[in-house]
Amino acid sequence: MKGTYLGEFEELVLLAVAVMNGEAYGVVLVGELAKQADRKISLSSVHTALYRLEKKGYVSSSMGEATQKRGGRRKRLYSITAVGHAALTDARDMRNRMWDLIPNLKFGPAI
Amino acid sequence: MSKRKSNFREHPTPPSWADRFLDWYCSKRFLEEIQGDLYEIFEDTLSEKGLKAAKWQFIILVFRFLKPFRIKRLEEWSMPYFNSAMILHYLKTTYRNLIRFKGFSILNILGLAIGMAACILILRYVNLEMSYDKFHPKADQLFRVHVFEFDDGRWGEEEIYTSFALGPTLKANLPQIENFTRVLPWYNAAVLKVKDSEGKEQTYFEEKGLFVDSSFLQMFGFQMIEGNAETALASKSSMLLSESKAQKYFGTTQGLIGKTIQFNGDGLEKPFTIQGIFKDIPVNTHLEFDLLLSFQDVLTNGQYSQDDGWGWFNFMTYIQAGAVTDTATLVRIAEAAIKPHVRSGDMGDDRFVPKFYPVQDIHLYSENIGELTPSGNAKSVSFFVLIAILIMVIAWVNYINLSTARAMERAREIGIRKTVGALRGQVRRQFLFESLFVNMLAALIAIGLALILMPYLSELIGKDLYGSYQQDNKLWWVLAGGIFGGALLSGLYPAFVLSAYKPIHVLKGMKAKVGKGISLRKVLVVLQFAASAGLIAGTLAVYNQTTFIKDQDLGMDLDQIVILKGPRIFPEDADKKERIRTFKTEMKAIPGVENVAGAGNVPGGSYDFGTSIRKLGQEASEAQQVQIVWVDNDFLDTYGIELLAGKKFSDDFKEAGPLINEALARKCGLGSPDEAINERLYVNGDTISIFGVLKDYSWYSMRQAHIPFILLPSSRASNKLCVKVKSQDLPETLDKMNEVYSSAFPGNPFDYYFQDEFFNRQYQEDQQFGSIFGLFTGFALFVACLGLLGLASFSATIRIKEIGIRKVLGATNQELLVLLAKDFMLLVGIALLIGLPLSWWFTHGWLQEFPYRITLGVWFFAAPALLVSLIAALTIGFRTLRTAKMNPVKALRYE
Repeated sequence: MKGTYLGEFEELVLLAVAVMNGEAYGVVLVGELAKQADRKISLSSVHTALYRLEKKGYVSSSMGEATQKRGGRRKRLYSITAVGHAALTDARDMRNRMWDLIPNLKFGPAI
Repeated sequence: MSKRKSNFREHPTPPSWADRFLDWYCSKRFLEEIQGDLYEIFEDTLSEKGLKAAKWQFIILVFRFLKPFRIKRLEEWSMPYFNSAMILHYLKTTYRNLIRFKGFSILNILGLAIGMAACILILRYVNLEMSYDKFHPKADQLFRVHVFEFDDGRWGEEEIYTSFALGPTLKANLPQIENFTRVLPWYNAAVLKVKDSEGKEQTYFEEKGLFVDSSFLQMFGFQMIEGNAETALASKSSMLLSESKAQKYFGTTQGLIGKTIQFNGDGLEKPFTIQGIFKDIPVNTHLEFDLLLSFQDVLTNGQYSQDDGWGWFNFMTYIQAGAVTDTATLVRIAEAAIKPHVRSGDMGDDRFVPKFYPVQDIHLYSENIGELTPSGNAKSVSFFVLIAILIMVIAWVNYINLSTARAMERAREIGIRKTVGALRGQVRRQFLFESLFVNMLAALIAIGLALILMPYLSELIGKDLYGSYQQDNKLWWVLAGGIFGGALLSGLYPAFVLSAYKPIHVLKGMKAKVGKGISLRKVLVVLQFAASAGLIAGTLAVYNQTTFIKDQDLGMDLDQIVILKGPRIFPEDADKKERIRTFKTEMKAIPGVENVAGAGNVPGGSYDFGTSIRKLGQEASEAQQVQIVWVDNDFLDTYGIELLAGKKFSDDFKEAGPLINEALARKCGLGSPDEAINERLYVNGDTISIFGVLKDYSWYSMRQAHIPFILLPSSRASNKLCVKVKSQDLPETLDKMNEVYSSAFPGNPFDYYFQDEFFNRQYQEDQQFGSIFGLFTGFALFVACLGLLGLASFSATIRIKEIGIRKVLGATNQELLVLLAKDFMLLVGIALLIGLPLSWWFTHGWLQEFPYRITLGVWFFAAPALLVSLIAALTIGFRTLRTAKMNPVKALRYE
């Protein structure tokens, strides 16, 4: 998409949001990213990324329920928007294109 | 006991300080979700890794969340007193209100401005008085040595004049003393012969000169324009001129070093070489001089050359001591060092106890009459500060009164504000802001007022308030702080009262009751008027006392006496006695001249010398201090002093002797004048018999009781020539006198002044005090009236309907006036009852200082009471009359 840059970390977070299908919020995203990407990510970076994503319009959010575990505070649930989806697809397509451009290694050592 | 509770009690929670920190910085938009997430993670980590890890993680995360975009926006911050968005609005409101009630606003601001202006002026004066002698670089190391003499079994007074060997002796014996200087004021006027720029020889009479050691300039901070401070007075016969004197003599300050001036005075007659020019000395120093001469010349002079340094007490001794921590030891050592030199009196128990008096304290605290400049009075200074504070308090009380009185008219505004959602705190803030604003405005006006009035005050006091003295800036900060604090305080009361209005009451139109009881407002008005009444009484008393003293019978007649400065220069071969005699005869021949006398000193001036004296046969312990002046045979007649016993001097002075006054007779127990004639007195080893007894006369102001005095005969007394004139055409008589004088004493300038003016100078201090006091009383009264005016206006407005109805029912204007004024006059009455007795108490105490004083009679109470009542009545009357005259229809229609 023109003018909206999707950083690597942001892309990860966006993917994770998509995966969680409307149940995504700060804490569980951290857990999911740790599981999938095998990275220890801090809650604050996730929150920041989510904030930026929302500003770009890739995700939308709403307030969810409060639990006692959270000291009675509600959580903010994020879900991916159509625009966000499109951005993800664009990013994947771009990568695939570049992969295809890599010269054929038929004559090189077998992969 | 529910499970939940036990959970709570045992269950660990994230560190609360970190939590609060997050609360503090984080914007509301994010706070909830972030905090929730943090709690959740805390729980997770707690169960996985334990409490410590969980807490640690929590803390770190709180800080990691701290990013600029998450911090609270400006409006989310709760500022205690300042809400930037509202200020503009407050300004607008304040401005509109001020304009809307122009009358009140002007009253308020004017009152405050006057109060502040008074404070500023007084502060300037206080600053000046307290800045004396502080500009010397070594100011806190400088001390003057005073001595107490214990002689013949009695302690003498604190003497500021000491002997000339004292300085060197002290320096030799006390290592703490780094330097010393002696100062010898010129005994009498000197004549200077100067060759001016054109080579002509001019003669000048100068009185303000000092002989000083070369260390003088190094110890004190007087600045040199030309010449070297270190060496200027080092050599004999050196002279330094002030800038203005140099201009006066030569018209320039350049190239004068090396020129000579012929000096004739104090027994010296020789040329002095100019070694430097110094800048005119500032007002705020206790020393006064236009010329400085080197000290060495003094010691070669007649009366001092034979002395070992301990006989004569004419010198002021100053020392510079670095760290004087233990004055007691210093004094002991000093006394011991002096002891061998002290001449023992009859009882052999003489003691000289020195005292090291800080130079910076001299002006304010030294009460010695021998000082070169009139001393300030620490008491007066603190007194004026009190008055300033009083005026300010009155002004602020006014503000409070007027503001709360006006509350009614702003009730609607406040009601609407509250309805629209203003919190009480916000309304309060608005009024505080108004108060601050009004005060700042008043302050600006006050500064302007003060600047305008400063020259007048300067004249009143006789000191220049304009100059740039070393300001004690601390005082100015205190003033500013005080004003700011007062502004806040005086704004608090109205703020709280006004913000308490319930909107519902206001909008329904219920008005506040006109309190018949005791309200704070009434108390304040009473206080204001009590203070004013007290001040008026005080002013009257001061004025009366001062006039009383001046009008007292001095025991001699000082009117119409012209004092001529006596001749200092005589031709080599002249017979002085003869010349003086001829002069007097020729003078008496002048039509306007009644009598001529010669004297060493004149009333209101000083005395020729003093010593101790007692009746022959009395114990040494009963000796009294006496002052002595040389006079000739015409003195008594010229001044109209009455002779009670004995005879006057004969014209040839063959029959002449000491004339004592009644005070001496009393103090020495000589009995009645006729008895005293036969007594003999013992003075300094000599026995003298009394030639005559004079009725008490006041040589000095009536501020002092009569002191023992002796007039000694001298045919050559000519230091001052006293001429009694009785002339229709004074200038012509003076011209003739000039002629006679010049022919009798060629080479001496004809300089004269008037005895009565000269004498009255002593009352200057009291007069100034009275004037300033009166001025500020005027201020206070004015401000109090403003307050009353405002209050009366308010009251009238409130009762408009009532007045209207009464009028309709047939009340006359007078009846209405009385009705409305009654309450206020009662208040005024109470004020008088409070203020006058207090004032009486203070004034009585002040009067105790005077040996001759007025009695505080009925007038003390009656006059202020009348004045205050009158002013109050006028103020109230004027305002209520306007309301009373109003058309009742208008009043009743008002809704």
